[in-house]
Amino acid sequence: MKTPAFIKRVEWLPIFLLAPVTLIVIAIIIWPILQALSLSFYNTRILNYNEGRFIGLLNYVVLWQDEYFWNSLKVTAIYGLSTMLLTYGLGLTFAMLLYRPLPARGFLRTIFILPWAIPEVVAVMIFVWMLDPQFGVINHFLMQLGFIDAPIAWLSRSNTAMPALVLVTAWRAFPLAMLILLAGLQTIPKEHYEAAMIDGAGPIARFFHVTLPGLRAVNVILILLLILNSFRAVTMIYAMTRGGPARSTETLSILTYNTAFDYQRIGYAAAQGTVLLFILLVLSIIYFSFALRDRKSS
Amino acid sequence: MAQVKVSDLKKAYGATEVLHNVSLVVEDGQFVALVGPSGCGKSTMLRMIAGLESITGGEIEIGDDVVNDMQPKDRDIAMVFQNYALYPNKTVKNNMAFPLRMNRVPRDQIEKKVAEVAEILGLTEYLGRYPKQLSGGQRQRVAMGRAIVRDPKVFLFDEPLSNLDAKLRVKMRAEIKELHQRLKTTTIFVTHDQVEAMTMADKIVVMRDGNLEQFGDPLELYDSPANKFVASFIGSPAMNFLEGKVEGKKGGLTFVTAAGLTFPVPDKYAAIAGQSVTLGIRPEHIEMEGEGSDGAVPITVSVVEPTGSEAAFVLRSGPDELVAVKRGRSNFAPGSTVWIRPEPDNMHFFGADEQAIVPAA
Repeated sequence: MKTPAFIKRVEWLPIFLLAPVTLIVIAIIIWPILQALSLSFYNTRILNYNEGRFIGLLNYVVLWQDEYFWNSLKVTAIYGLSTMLLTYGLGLTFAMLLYRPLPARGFLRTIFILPWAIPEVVAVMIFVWMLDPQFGVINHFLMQLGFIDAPIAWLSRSNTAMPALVLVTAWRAFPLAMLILLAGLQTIPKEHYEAAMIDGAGPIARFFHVTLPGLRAVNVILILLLILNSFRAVTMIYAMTRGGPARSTETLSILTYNTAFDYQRIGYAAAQGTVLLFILLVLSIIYFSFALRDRKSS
Repeated sequence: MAQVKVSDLKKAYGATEVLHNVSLVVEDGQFVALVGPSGCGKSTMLRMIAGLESITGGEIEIGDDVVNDMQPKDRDIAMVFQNYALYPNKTVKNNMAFPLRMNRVPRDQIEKKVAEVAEILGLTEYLGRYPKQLSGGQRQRVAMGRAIVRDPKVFLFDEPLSNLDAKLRVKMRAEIKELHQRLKTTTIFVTHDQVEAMTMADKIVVMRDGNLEQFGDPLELYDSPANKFVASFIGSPAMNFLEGKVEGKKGGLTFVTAAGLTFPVPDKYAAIAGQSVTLGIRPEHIEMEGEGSDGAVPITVSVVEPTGSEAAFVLRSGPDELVAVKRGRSNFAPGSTVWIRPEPDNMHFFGADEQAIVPAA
């Protein structure tokens, strides 16, 4: 039998080489996403998983009217922005400190990376214990120092749970910000600082006229990355508050989790997840467009 | 404008001293070039004058002030860097205005001053552009503009032309010199290119390994180098050096190399008769003839390098090699024999310590 011409023309080797990875990506990423997308059109529950009924866009209509959904968006925005600001602030502060010639700089850099290196759940457990109303070291110190009279149940009060969560998230994430900013600082030519010194700029003017502009490209990427991470955060919030108290820390990802596994409404959760996916997709596109532009311009 | 006085300046990084007791005075309004091979300490010295490097020992005075412990911004100096160090996020105008803004000059004066300097440097039409939208030469001019707007006491240039191509370098050389003639601001210019130093400076400082080797007018350095290093560093093509001995004979003094190349030596060098010395002779101070004559030495032409206006000849006799330069066109072909004679008044001798031997008056 004669081989058709178009088969001869196709370059088979690259296709063979890419095939295994492509199949894996399809199996563990694309397929589940499509599955979730299709689930979002059904009223599926965990107990009757195979008996879900097609309900069209009803899940999305309900979602639109669901105050918990809007609450979760608000909580996500607050959580995302405040962790981003705090993480960035801490990261920049430590990056600038560790950029200077210090004794034992290498050692200090290693120490400051540790929060990022320990497993998330371990970090959370440490903090949950530290914040514990009965045995927690934080209450102990604050009482010793006279700031508070009685122990505070940080994670059980709606006005302290979010700040505590933001603090722990930022504590764990700042080393990444620090590393990225440290790398960014190293790309700023020393001569720019020297020229600014000769031009009469003091340390503050140098920060605003040389350091910050020099970090511009890194900043955009880092800030987007931090916001993306806060949208994706599940482990830390789940392990600390499960979204409570009174949904004060229930971000969209936690709401999705709770809807799926606590309330067992898989179909509805899939609709929430799809909205989350859409938001992340938009952020990712912005992120990659900046990242690619950055690479092109350098 | 001001005098810059450097006294016994020392710089050490840990136990390594890189600048050893350098002293020099740059007079008010002078253009001085610091020249030397890389690692000779010239940039370090400039950065110490600027206040960007700490001073290990000695003193720097600008005008009437000892500036050793003064911040760079208080020294009233301006510096142009090798890579220009323009602020990438600021337009040409804002780059030039920056030092004035930092010194709280009123806005209308800044506008006026920047416009004036931009006019001088031909940058008026580029004021709204960003550094990355400019060519190397234009960036260089912006860097100079940023230095000029402040009317500083001293300009410091750290190899400002090294990043430009050869043609542009020659053009900018003339521009900087012209600018200096116009502004008459005391200028210290670091370069590793002796041609730059020779063509631009009123005075040249030759440095090596953290030591000042010679400080003088360009032509003084060229005509009377203090030692073999200065002799070899200044001038292109470089001075020829031949190892040999000065011998006193009946007919007068001669210089003889180990391979037997023999040249007559003026009587004023009688004091070094019998000594082993190095003869230095510049390529243009070698007379070349097609036929033998009194005192001329035969030698073989091995390479001819014509440049149009002149030609360089590589001449060989055994292990001895010389380069001679003749203006105009010559028809000496490679492989042919020519007769050479160093000009007696332009012979230099260096002792075993590499210092120039001063002839009797």
